[in-house]
Amino acid sequence: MSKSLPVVGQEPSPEGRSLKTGRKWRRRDFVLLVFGWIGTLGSLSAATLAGMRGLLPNLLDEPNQRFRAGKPEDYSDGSVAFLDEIRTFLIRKGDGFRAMSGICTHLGCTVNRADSGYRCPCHGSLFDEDGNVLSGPAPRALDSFGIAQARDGRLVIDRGRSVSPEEFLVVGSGGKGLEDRGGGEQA
Amino acid sequence: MNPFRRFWQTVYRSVFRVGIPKTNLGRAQAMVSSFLLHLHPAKVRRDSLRPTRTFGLGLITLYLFIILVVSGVLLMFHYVPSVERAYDSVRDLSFVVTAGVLLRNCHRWAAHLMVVAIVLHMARVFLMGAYKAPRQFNWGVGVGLFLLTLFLSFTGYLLPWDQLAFWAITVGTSIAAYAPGVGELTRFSLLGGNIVGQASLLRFYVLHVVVLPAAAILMIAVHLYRIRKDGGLAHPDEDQPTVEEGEAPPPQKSYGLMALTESSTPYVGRDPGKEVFAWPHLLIREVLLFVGTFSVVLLLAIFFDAPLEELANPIHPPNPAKAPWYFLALQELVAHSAFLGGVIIPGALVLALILLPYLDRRRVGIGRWFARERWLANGTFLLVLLALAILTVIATFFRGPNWDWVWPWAAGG
Amino acid sequence: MASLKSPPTEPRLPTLTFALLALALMVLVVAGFLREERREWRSYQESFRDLEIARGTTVEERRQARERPIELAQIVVPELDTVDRCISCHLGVDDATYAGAGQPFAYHPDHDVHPFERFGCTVCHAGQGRATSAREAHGDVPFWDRPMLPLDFVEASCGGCHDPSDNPAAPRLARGAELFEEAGCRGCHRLDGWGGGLAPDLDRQINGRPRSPEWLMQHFLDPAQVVPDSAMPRYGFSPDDAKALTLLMLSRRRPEVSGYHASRRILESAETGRRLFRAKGCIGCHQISGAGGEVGPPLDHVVTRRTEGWLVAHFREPRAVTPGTVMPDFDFTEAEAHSLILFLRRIHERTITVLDEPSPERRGEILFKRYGCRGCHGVDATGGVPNRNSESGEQVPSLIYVKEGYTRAELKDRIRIGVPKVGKLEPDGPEPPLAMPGFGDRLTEGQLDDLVSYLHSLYPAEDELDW
Repeated sequence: MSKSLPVVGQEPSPEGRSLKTGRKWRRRDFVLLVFGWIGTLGSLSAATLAGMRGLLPNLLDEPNQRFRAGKPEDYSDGSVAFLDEIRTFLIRKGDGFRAMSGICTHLGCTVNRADSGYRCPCHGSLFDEDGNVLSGPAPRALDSFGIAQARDGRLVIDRGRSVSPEEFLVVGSGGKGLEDRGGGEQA
Repeated sequence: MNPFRRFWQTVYRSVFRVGIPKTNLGRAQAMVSSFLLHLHPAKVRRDSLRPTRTFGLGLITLYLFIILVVSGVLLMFHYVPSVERAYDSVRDLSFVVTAGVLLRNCHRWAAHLMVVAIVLHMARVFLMGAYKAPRQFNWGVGVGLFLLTLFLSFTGYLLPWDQLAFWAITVGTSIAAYAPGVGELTRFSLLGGNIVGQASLLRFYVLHVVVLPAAAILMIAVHLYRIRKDGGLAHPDEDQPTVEEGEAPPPQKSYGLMALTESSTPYVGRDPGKEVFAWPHLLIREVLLFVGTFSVVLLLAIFFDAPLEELANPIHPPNPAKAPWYFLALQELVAHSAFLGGVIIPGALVLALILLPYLDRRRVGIGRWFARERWLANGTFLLVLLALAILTVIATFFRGPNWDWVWPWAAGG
Repeated sequence: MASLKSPPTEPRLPTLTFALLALALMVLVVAGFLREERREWRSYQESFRDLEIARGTTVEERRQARERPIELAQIVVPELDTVDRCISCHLGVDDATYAGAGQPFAYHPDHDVHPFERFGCTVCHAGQGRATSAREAHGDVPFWDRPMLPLDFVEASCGGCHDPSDNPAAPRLARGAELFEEAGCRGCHRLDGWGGGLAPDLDRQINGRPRSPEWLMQHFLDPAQVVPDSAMPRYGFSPDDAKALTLLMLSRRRPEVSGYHASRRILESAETGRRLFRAKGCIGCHQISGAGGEVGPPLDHVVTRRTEGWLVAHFREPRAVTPGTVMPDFDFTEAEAHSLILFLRRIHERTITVLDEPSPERRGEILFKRYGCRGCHGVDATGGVPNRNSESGEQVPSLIYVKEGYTRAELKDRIRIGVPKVGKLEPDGPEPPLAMPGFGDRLTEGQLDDLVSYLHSLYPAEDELDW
């Protein structure tokens, strides 16, 4: 088919001809070209994204979201222990346990224990014993984390789960109980 | 036109200047109005597009370099240049990092391919006599890029810090030490000591990720600019002994913008059928070449893992300890004579390459493969290349423990 | 017909090639995804999660199980240079309810002494801790020279940190260490930095060319089996002894724990107590069995006079317990204090002595073994090792009857100087391969005396002599 020759440009006048590209689109070329571009650009962006996916680490050089805090009897009644690795206070009252974040809700400094409550050294936010804001720029109370007891009796702090400050994990005398006192989860 | 659309148009025009061209004028404008596209001429000779003219070797080399830069930068996010952690961070690429091992494979194979591609590119230019005036300087830049590529590969070789890396670099730098006068000093400053250690790792790392790539990018820019300014690809039309020594070459610009109107300017007077617009004919071929190059790299990366041996052990060298393959010809030469093989021969070869276009000034055989008139030059070049290839093959397959001769098929047991 | 006037023809665009190459690229990208996507550990975690959900008894437990994240986990122990990701698949190791479950979820019993969080897994089991696929992690892959130890050989790892000689938990390893000295291996081989140079340096061998447990076992049973031209004689070890020696070799495989090694953790034992008692010179002030100084009280039955608590406190800080005492503060650790008490208990029971003085003959025998004399003169000094073309019947001579031929002084000289040139049987024959080296630079005068005493003691008693 002589017509399929990719020639073209029937423009007779020289001036007009120079402006025309001298090529007529054929449907086949067009489809192939579009397919080629979509394939190329799609593959390249997929490859780039895959390469960038590595920037989201699969393993962290930091403690797990779930942190094993040891056995209940390691903590005495009325104590407030600071767990360095996860910057969290583990508070024991009677048989009840509560985990409260030691990270200031303002800009993430570690709070210190004050005479009563907690004080942030960076911008002076003051929190009470339960982590509620008393003064300073902190926008909200210190977070409280869920605690559970593993089968071997050890406490597991789940920093992925926020709970209300009133929620205590009550450890039964047999060291097996798993009842939560207090209410629902905090957003 | 609604305001939003007008705003969009303004932004679009400010970035792209011209849309997808529909006329020849538009095609030319597109090429000159974009930074990257303006590296190309508006029109190119039709025969330059024929695959067998260049096999796209220079462009393939450039694409491999780009792949190397991108994968290299991504690898830098995971790699730790410390003796204690380098090896583990490389292993973790395959154990932990998503697509990490593919990334490393891509980088490794692209690096090897680049050494191959740049040698072939060089051979192509030589065999076409394309280094002659006015392209003498660009040939020199090309030789520089070739050496840079080798050095980039070499510095990258150490980074995984495994046995292969450690001993290849130990051997490689020892070859450098044979250079008279400055050899020992070169090795000492390259390693930051007398043996390969933490200082060497850090030095090789800095050279590999900053110094050498920066130098390469600069030289590539000059190289590309010069290709354009020296009149694009060499072609047989230049094959006329008209140019007098020392005289500036005639304007080689193939097709000025003003020539678009097909006036009868001398330059345009040539058969317009011989030239086509770079948009889209050249561009699509360039894209095509990139897709092909990347596909080959990806294919290798998916099916062949880059080697990673045991952690470097300075006490127990593998026997034999071999340099990277592109230095094996050199190692084989050094094994015969340290001074002759390690200094005189490679030094003479590099010097000959750089001086070549200033010595061989006959304007014959330009832009043609294996021109009959150039049989002596081409023959010599091919012989040297063949000799190096044979030496490499010998050093790779026929050298066993203590650099003794072994038959590869006999060594299976 | 392209004349100058006719419109220029344009070449075809290579659209088909372009589309095909783009297709190839797409296929490759998908292949790359497939290669990356299916990770082994992921499927183990998923099946473990299903297992946990099925085992959950309460709604809460099932919720927790469902929320179990699918993610890699690791134990990092910087002191041991250990990063172990084994727990990414071995998910039941610390949960006793998985006792008896199949791998990879089986429970690991008895981990109270060495909790995983502090020691990781590979310290004992070996293998490639960083790897995240079973094959690579278990380490039977090229370029990883410490694959997992078979369970029967895990005991070897105790020796990485603990002195085998007083570790009740590793009796076979202790036997190996004992055997190494007893059999005189050190006479020819170097280990832990000292020993003879006749045979391969084991420090270099173990870390330069690590061998598998099977290879080592075979080697001890019959060296020629695995090293055809080995000069090492067949010692005729029992399989148990061969395993003990194998454990000793395997225990030296981790040079990077050497930091730990140097501070080898003291295990509480009477033997350690005795060593301390002697090393700190307690006998200078305290009497035991009537020997010793009189500055402090005798200690024969101190364990009946004082409680354990008092003694521990006293060892750790004498002045805190007895103000004004002249006993110096030795800075004993808790474990050292306990070891001293164990030792003093045995003293009270009279089952141990402070000094363990062997007879000169016994000391000589130990030297005979230690310096590898047995390698040539035979296991019981009865000779018999072939020495081609030597005048003594083409054999290394027996030493049983040296008492007849040599005085003490002559024998000492002979050992001191050696026999650098052994006489030939056939004067024209080849040089005999074995010659006796001189030991004068290595043995003290006293040791030479001991050795001679031993050699003389070999002479059969009158009634045994068979004329």
